[in-house]
Amino acid sequence: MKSTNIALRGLGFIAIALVIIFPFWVTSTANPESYLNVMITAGTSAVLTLSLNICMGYGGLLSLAHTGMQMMGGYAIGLAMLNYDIDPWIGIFIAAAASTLFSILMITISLRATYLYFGMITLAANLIAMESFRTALGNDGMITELYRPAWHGEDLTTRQFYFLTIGILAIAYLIQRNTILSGFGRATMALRESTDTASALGVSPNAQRVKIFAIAGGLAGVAGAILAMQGSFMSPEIGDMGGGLIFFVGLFLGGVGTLIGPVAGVALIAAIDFEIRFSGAYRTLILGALLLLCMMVLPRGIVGTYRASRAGSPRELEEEPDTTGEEIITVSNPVVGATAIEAIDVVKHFGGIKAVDGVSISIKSGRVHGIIGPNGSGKSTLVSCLTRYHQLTSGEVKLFDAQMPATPFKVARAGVTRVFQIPHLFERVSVRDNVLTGMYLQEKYTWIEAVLRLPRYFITTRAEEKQAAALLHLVGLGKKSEIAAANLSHGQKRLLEIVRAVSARPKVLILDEPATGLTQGELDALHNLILFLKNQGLAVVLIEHNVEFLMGLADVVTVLESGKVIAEESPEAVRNDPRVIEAYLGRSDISELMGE
Amino acid sequence: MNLQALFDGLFSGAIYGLVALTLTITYQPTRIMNFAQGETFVLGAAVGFEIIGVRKWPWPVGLAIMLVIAVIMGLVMERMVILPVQLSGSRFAWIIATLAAALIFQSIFSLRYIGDTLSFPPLIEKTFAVGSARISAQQIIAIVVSLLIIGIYDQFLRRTIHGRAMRATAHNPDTAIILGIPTKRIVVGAFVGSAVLGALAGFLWCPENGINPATGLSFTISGFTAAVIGGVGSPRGALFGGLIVGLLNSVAGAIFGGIASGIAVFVALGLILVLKPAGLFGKPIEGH
Amino acid sequence: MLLEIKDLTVAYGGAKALDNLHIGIEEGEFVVLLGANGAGKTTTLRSISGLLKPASGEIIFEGRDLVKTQSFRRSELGIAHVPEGRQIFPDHTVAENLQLGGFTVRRDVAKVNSAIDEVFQLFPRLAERREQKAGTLSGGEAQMLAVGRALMGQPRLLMLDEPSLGLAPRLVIEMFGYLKRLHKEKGLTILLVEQQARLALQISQRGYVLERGVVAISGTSESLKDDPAGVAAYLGHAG
Repeated sequence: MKSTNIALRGLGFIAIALVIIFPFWVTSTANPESYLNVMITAGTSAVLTLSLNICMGYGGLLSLAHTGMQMMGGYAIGLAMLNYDIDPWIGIFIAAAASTLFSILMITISLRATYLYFGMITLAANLIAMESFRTALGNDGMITELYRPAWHGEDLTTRQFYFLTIGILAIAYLIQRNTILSGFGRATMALRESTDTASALGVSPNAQRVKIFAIAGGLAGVAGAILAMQGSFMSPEIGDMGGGLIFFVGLFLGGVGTLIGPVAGVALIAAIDFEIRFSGAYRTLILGALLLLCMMVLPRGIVGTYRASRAGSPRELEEEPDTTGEEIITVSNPVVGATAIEAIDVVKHFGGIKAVDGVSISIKSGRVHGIIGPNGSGKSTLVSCLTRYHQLTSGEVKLFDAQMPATPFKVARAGVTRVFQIPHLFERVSVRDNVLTGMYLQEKYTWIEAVLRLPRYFITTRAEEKQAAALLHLVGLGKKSEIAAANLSHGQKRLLEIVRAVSARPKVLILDEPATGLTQGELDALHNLILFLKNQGLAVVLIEHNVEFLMGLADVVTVLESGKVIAEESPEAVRNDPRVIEAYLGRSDISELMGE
Repeated sequence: MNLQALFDGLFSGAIYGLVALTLTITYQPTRIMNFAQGETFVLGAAVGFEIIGVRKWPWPVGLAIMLVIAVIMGLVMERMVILPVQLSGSRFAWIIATLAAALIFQSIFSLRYIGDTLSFPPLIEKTFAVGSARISAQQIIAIVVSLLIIGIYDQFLRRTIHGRAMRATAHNPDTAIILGIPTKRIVVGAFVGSAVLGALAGFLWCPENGINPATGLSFTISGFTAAVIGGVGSPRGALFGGLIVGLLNSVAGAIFGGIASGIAVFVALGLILVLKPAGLFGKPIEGH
Repeated sequence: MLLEIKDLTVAYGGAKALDNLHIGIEEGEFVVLLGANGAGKTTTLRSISGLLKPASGEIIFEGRDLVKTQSFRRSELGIAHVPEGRQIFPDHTVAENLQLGGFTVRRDVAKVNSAIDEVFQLFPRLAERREQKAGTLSGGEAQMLAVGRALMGQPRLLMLDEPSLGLAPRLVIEMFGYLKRLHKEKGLTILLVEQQARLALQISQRGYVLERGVVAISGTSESLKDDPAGVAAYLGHAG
């Protein structure tokens, strides 16, 4: 372990120790209650900021309804105890359930909405919820005389309530951490980077978004419950966006999409807030200015900046990890020579443009099928049709004699994985985590198992990590497994993407121009990897411009021009086929046509 | 049919349409939906309140001062939003920056006008009775001015070279640059223009309904809802979206009472997003 | 030398798209830039017109370093760029697209109008579609419009990025015929990026073959036409 890590861990222990002795330390001051209340408020903010971090930082879902979710939780516990005399301990769970429901409702309505609309809908829902409580409850929506839970027959003292808050914060942090460091979390982050890539790995975009938003909602509801019990009231103003600014500032100051960033950011803000607490209306002004400043000066936040720095980022390993004895399996149940994908007369029109115009193609297991053709000849469109990223205008696609599923993520689940023309790596996470993300489809443990760290999580994770190490060793990236993928060379990134794709153990792998921009050494590594996969029984579709590269690999080559197949033959035949040369280089008898 | 609700709906609808237009103007070249847009609305109200309401200076002077301050606010806002967006690199940068700008302006207004309701006397103190309903001269002026501005802007976009260049920039900034169109200046111009029109909307609104200095964000939302219903990017869409929001608000409120008005608009928004995501007059807008 | 590129390096997140590139074009020349996908052809054009900021190097146009010139000012200096995929404005009419091409000379209405007339003379088919939305044009017409739009600002250097992309062979020949005429009759300096190597070498005077961001081969079009190594590099045989 590096010395900086030890120092950081020490810092963490000191912080935890301070938080624990804090209530005993302030008893000697004139007004210990007020200090404790400041800390309780900060703790509540931290829980809410963690929730915001889960949905915005990791899920990429812009939520402007977090104050509303919190208000929803506060009202749920408040109304439960006032109207139904429900015990506050149970009320906390009711609060979590209520705001989970609220967030599920919001996201279900707005799943079809694009990014911008999504945020606005959450904001509108927030306002509607505030307005509803204000109108429906009377007294401007204010409910009072809420009380704290009891312990041994007595309501919790402020000091006990402080420890309750800190405990809940710790649990919230663990939920966040265990969620993110699991297949569930990796799928969420994949979705944040690119819906297409996540689908190609078998993640259902809509289902995953609903789940992550629901988790965020539940945490926010708990924060609302603490807030209601602490202040013994709840009002629609709690849902106001202006009050929610502090969470955004905390999140951005600490670092969006980092585990501890939200807590660190809120702690810092709480300290600043404590200093300016008597400035009243200047508070929003100062926080707003701080937020803008932070975006310009520290765009990654404190923790994010540290992680990106030399001291904070993991180094390359000294030597390749030992992976002997680990069998590499990249394909499940191969039947060499069987027809994997059968496309019949596929047509795809965009407006008036016939991008794919009646293509039939048959792709077999254990073979490399090359597809070449000039720019704009329809290669990428064809594979998008095969994998359902495009709806067909007409034609039919079959996978192992069955109908190809209708959506990209179902295609992936059926065993067809693709690697896109533009690299779509998860740049900020480690090389190994990129590979682990690809294993999403094989993970059988549930979110609950991951959060509670039950045995199945550990067994699966250990097996996955071994397999990932072996795969990385295969392409010579073993030493780099800890570093962020962003630090790899272009060619290494391409190799990693392919490794990630095959870690899902697909039956068909589609590669779109993987050789572009690779050095000779990287080309050789790519060549060997594709040969290895082919020999394992995978059907490989290889779209490539580099004909020389294709020659040594492809068993058969399909040549496309203007959306039509102009030839399908062996690589040697393609090389000398005048039709192919003409498609690529233009006609040689042109001078006559040009009237010379 | 409640005629009063119709008049009130037309008035607020025209103003919402104007706010929707200002959101559209900055959205087109930048792909930023400016949360601070509603603050320009409050600015117009505040200047009117201070100059015409408190100091009792004549209307034209108030209007002139308002325009000058609005230009300055547009320039400041452009820097406050664009600079963090450029430096941050986060996909949420635009929303956080505009939200921060909104809250900064909001607290400035709240500090200066603490406890005040921003309102001032109308240009013409006259009210017409139509049956049992009443419509004020101020409402008529506001409706006419909003319609005129939206119409003029529509023609500006279609008929002038700068308007066409703006549309070109919105469609494809890279190609606009290689044709020599100064896209950065267009962005500054869009912020200034939308600040001026936003302030004008507030200036027209306040004699009729005073506002609290902290309500800028709710006008942003009304304008956004109008823009989405009409179709982001189209002035005609802004107008029709505004009218739909205004009328739904007042008619649903008159028939079913307060809470129904907000819910009616929300339902309309939801329906549009599901049935016609591009809005009534718009083309689909790309995500960020 | 009208345009001289010296030591130009452009990188996308670590990967070098251009690596110390050297290229020069004389006034009145017709030069073609060939190479496989990802060789750096489009990057070169985008650097010249200012859509990309180079990591290092100079782009000298008429003695002036373009790297230090704001992007939108370069078209005023006489650089016209017909981007890949045409990028016409589909919601504007044909005439409006041309008018936007003349944005830098917009104050001189007579000049704009005579330039539009000249474009219509060159491409009579566009004149018929004058008031039509550009989005309704066929591929060949859209390419004509893109070229016409670039000519509106009276450029000194016309750069075209794969004008043949997605066009039927007959239309490609027609398009190349127009380019040849522009060069011969108007003396326009042309820098052409092409896939259709043989055809491009027919109408140009000189050529460069790029490979991974550097010039692999260069010479007169005549000499490149029959150079098997050049063709090989193009199909990705080399390396």
